[in-house]
Amino acid sequence: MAPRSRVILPEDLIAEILSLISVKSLLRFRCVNNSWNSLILNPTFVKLHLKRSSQQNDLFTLTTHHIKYGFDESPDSSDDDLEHGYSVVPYSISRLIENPSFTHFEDPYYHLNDKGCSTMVGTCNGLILLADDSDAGRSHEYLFSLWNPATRTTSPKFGYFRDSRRERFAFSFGCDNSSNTYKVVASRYIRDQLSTEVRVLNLGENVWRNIESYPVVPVDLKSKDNYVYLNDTLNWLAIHNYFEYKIKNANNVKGISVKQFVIVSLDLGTETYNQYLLPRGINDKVLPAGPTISLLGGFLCFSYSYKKTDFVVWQMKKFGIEESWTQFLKISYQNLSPAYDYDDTWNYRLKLFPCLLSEDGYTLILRSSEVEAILYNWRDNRVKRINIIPSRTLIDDDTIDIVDWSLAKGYVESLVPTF
Amino acid sequence: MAAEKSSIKIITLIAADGSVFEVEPNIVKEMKTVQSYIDELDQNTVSIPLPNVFGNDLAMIIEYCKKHASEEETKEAKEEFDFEFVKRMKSDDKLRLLQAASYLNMESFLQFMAKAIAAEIENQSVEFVRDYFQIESDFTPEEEAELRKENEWAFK
Repeated sequence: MAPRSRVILPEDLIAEILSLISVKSLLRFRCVNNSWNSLILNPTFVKLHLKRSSQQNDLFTLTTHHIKYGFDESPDSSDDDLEHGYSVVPYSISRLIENPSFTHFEDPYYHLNDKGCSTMVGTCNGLILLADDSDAGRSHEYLFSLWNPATRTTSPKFGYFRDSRRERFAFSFGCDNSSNTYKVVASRYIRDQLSTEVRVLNLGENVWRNIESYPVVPVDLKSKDNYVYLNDTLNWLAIHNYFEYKIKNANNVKGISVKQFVIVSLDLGTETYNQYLLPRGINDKVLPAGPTISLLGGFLCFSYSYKKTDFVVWQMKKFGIEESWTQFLKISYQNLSPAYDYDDTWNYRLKLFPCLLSEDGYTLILRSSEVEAILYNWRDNRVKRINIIPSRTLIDDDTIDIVDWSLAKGYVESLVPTF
Repeated sequence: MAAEKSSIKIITLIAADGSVFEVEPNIVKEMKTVQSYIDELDQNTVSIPLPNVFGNDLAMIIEYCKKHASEEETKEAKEEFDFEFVKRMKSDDKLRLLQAASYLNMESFLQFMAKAIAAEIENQSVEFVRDYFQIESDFTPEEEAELRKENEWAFK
């Protein structure tokens, strides 16, 4: 047999090819030779790979919550026997659309308890920020860890602090890509002062710094999906005179006009705030139920229920430009009803949150509560209920497992090191 | 359409083995290396030697460019063409065409070839990849064993 002609590729072309390869294969290919090993670990290559990987937009964090009730009959048993924990597994959106009903057997590797953390804060550039929040007497203790599920690496714990105020902190996670600095932002309401407190930690520095508090107060700091990370900024939906409404209306934010809502955006580079108005196309004096912001197909989106008949989603086509708000979808509740068993009045009470968008942009994943979600294809108007049955073990051990859709976030595979 | 800077009607490309290809300007639009050569030229024809590309490879690249420059072809027909185009190639053809794409500075054809090669090596073993690129390991057995152990799960 004739020998093969020898085609020797220069390193930049090898890098082009490898930038399209999955992380798991790349970790194997480190063994090819010394130059491949150093290429795959090279920060410039890691960035190129992340850039290519980010163009795919097909993965999300499939998060499941496990609650185990201790039916221990011994005299020492108490409510403390309730055990719970989360698992976070990167999963393909297209696969979910193909098959929205399945039993999800989990690899124990993805259990957060085993990583010493109780929950997930958010994800950025393939890194997942995990947090552990525990009670220590009358105060709370917080600790963090950074996890890259694709490379299967977890950082040592960092950012410990202890706090004794009644109001707990909410956390968000993002990166200032221009300086390559990952940041954790901690914020909370301080009700007796009608204000907020905001702290920032730069990864690698391990020091919490107080920054200016929110110029307008975010609506839902306590919910797990209260913020959107985009373009080196963290964004919250906020209301002017928030506390006034909270107190006057006993937590009911109905009756607030559109004009009082803004998007508060924290620039992670300068650590200063910007404010963006909502779409001008919303004419209603009173904002209907369920306004929320989300990240869909790379755009910051604002959605709400319109006159109890439709669910409307707006996209900010150019981030930061208020004139670029464009109506993306207007979905009649009638079209969504086949996915639910509720009676005629269900749509009045149904609060919808868009979670994810398919790569082709046609299928939206919406959640109606933390545990229920549907697929909606707006092009051919098809609705399907998602029914994932998480299963930790094959043995029934009194564990209740539920998918937590409020922690389903877009995820990209990357080689970014956890420190 | 943007105004054509040059008045060239026919471009003659001469491959490394001397084979000659006559093409219209719209065919070479993606070849930035060629494009930079003909921009601003004020004549009807031009001959460009491409000493780093063999005739067989250049013929394939021109075939690809013709299909993709055509306005009559549907997106589906182009995708079908791409699929067949890759299917009939051996791995060495892909590697040579990737190099040619790099030399001719063809951004999207380079990505297309890189994707075709990536699809071949994705999920393959270290041994397969060494054979594919004709790379010899320069690790000591101890070093390699250590690396394999470090990422053991990736070998399952």
